[in-house]
Amino acid sequence: MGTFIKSISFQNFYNYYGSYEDNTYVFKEGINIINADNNMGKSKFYNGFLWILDDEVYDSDDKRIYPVSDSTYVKMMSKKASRENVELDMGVTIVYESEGIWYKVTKQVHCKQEDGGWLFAPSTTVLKTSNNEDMPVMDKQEQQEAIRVLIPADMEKYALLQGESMERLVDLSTLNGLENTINALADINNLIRMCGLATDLVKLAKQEYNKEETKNRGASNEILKLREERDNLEKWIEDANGKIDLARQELIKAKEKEQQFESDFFSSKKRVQLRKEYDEERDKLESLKREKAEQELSITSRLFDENCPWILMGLGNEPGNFDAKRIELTKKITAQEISQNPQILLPDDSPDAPSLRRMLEHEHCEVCDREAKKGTAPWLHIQKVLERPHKEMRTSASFMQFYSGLQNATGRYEATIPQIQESFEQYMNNIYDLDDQIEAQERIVETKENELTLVGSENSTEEEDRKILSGYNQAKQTITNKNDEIQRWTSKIKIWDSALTKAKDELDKRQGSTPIRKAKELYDNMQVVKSLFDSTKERIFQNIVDNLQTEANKMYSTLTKGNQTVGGTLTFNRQDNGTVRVSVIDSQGEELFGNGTGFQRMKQLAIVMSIISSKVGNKSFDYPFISDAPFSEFNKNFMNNFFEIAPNVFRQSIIMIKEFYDSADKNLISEHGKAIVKQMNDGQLQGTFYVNYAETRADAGNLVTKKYCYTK
Amino acid sequence: MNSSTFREKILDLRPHYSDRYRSMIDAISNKLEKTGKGNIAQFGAYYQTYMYACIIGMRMGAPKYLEANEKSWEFALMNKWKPTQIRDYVIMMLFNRSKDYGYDWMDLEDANDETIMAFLRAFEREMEGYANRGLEHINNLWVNQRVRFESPTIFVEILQELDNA
Repeated sequence: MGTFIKSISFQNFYNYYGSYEDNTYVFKEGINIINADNNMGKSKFYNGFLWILDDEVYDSDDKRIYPVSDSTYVKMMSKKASRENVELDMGVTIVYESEGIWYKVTKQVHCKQEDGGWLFAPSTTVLKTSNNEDMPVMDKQEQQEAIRVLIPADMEKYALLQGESMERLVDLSTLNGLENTINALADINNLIRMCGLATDLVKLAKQEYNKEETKNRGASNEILKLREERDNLEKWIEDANGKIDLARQELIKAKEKEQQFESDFFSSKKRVQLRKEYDEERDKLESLKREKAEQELSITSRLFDENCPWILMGLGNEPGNFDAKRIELTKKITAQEISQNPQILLPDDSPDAPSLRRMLEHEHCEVCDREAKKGTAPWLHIQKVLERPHKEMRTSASFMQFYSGLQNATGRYEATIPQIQESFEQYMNNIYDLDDQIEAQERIVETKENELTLVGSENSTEEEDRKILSGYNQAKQTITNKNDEIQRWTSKIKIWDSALTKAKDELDKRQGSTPIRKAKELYDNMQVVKSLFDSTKERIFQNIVDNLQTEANKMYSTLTKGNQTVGGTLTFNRQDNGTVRVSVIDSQGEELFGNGTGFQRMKQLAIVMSIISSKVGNKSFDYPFISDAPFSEFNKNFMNNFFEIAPNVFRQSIIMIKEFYDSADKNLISEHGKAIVKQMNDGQLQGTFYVNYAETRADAGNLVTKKYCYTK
Repeated sequence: MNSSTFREKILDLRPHYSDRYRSMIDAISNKLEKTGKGNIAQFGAYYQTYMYACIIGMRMGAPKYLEANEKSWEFALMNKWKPTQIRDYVIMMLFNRSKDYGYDWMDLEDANDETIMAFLRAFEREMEGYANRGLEHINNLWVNQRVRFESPTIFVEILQELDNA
């Protein structure tokens, strides 16, 4: 039952130098591993299958698949063989068995050097062996059918996998992709054909009905009016359905966009918010720094401040000393004047002249209230005072006014100089306070910076984040608009539908002729038939999608078990257009984003495995599973899980990997690889374990791959 | 000579400073008032640097007179110095110390012009001596502790250190 690959052999194919016998890999049921370092022939091995099945090869230089041609043959030919020979055969042979029949398919190119270039002659030979009887297949078409026994075309995308294309493996998001997948699982081609046929029959029945109506020339105006109304309503409904279809398509596109932006939306939103907060905190910091710089600049003006100049710190006794000197000078000047005119100490106008004359006349001193008889000493003293010479003002010759001016200008500092220390301390406290505020603010800014780094600000610019936010919001808006539009047209259709039913009923009453009634019945019946086929198809689709979801989750949970990151649950949601969107939901029912490439591939692998396991009537995949580098993004745990589950899903798998390669080991196998070999040799795991190696070191062109099989 | 003329004569003085401190004065003074010069703390105008140096010199006590053949530069007219109250304070301080340079205030009373002119020369020399002493102190710090001049509080700290000395 099913197809089973017995062996693959290469001859002068890439670095598989030498004959088919030298380069034959024999396979078993279970897992067959080809473990090889880079450049040791993994992709070339995969190309052997690709050539046989599709006449194509994968070019690992530019990661593209090319149809085989003279230009690819040049690359496919062993460099060593082409240097050693002017004529050689290069090819691949696969031997497989299905339903008791053995197939040996060889694709070979005879290469001949001529005039400095190569001439290529490709050929395909297919040999079928049944009951020990060899039957060469010569017909091209039959050859192709025999090759397709290996892996049918519709299953190839699940059976022949190239690691790097695994993310795009299963496409359930397009109607085509979904139908192909469902067809691969359950052959409902007939049903789909029946659906199409029913649609055509409905159209034909309607045409017939209309034709019968037109034949009836004696129709009244009322009937004609009703027909026109019915036709108009049908046209409006059809147009409205067209608009709904269009809106649905736009809705799907908007949802795809929403999904595309959704995974980045929340982190972008967080980043935009954090950037805003960071800018605000940084502005606060700058403002504090500016305030401090201004305070510091003001220290010079404080030194020369007119009211409390710090420069005079500690000089508070100077005005006092100055004043003392000024008083001393006044005394000295007075003493000098007295010495020059010792009798007269009284000021110029005191007592005044009229008073002195009266005192002489009355012979009485009014100053001391005593008698002063004429001619006596007191009377003569009063006369002397009256006649004393009047001195000139001395201001012009004295600097007393200058000193007073200085005293006036500087005297006020006597009171403010003691306050300088306090003023300075207050100033410094302000500075220290600002320093504290700056330090605290710097910590806040640093925290914001760290938060920003944590949400990936280094890998995303503000503009990119804004684009994501606006793209996401725009998609959301389009979704709302399109849903509204669909809702609007649906409401209109509902009203028109009821008017249409009314018009049709009215027409039925009025158009009683047998041909018209019969045509109408046929049209109605055809519509019922169509709806039956459609609902059957839809039910099968839904069942398959439900089964896929259940199966895929079983696989996914086994594949991801033991990982620290929660894998979530796969959900298969039918979309408005009937397609399926697969998403990963966490335990809270929230969609999970951002799981790594390993998880994404694991998700794809789970879906592939579920598709394979869901195949109607089979619990085991009918065809070999062949994959190049499927684990390049998987950790050890993923790989162990895969080896646990794969034998239950695939009867035979052939896997080319480098994860078990260890150049430092004498057998070139890592510890993990050795554990797998042991499991195989102990019979716990069915399969083979090959290691590719180079006997001698050489550049890529001269490299010759040898192999060693570590399993019994 | 009356008070008013005497004052004018004093404010007409243009004291000198030694060439050896010129670059330092250039660095810590600022012709354009409050704009900064890199990371170095500064005064506003040059004459403020001079008043500051003069006060430091007086607080240190002993003037250091310019040598007769010492290359020196003439300063702005004292009339231009601002704030005028601080300038007057400096003048007052110098009059408080007039005996140190040989003058009793009484000697100036009714003195002839020749005596007054001699006094003014002595007054100016004394001011230069104190400023020179102050500039020497600042320059020592400038040469040996330049990093301190990155702090805007350096000029207050210098004054405080004199207090503690």
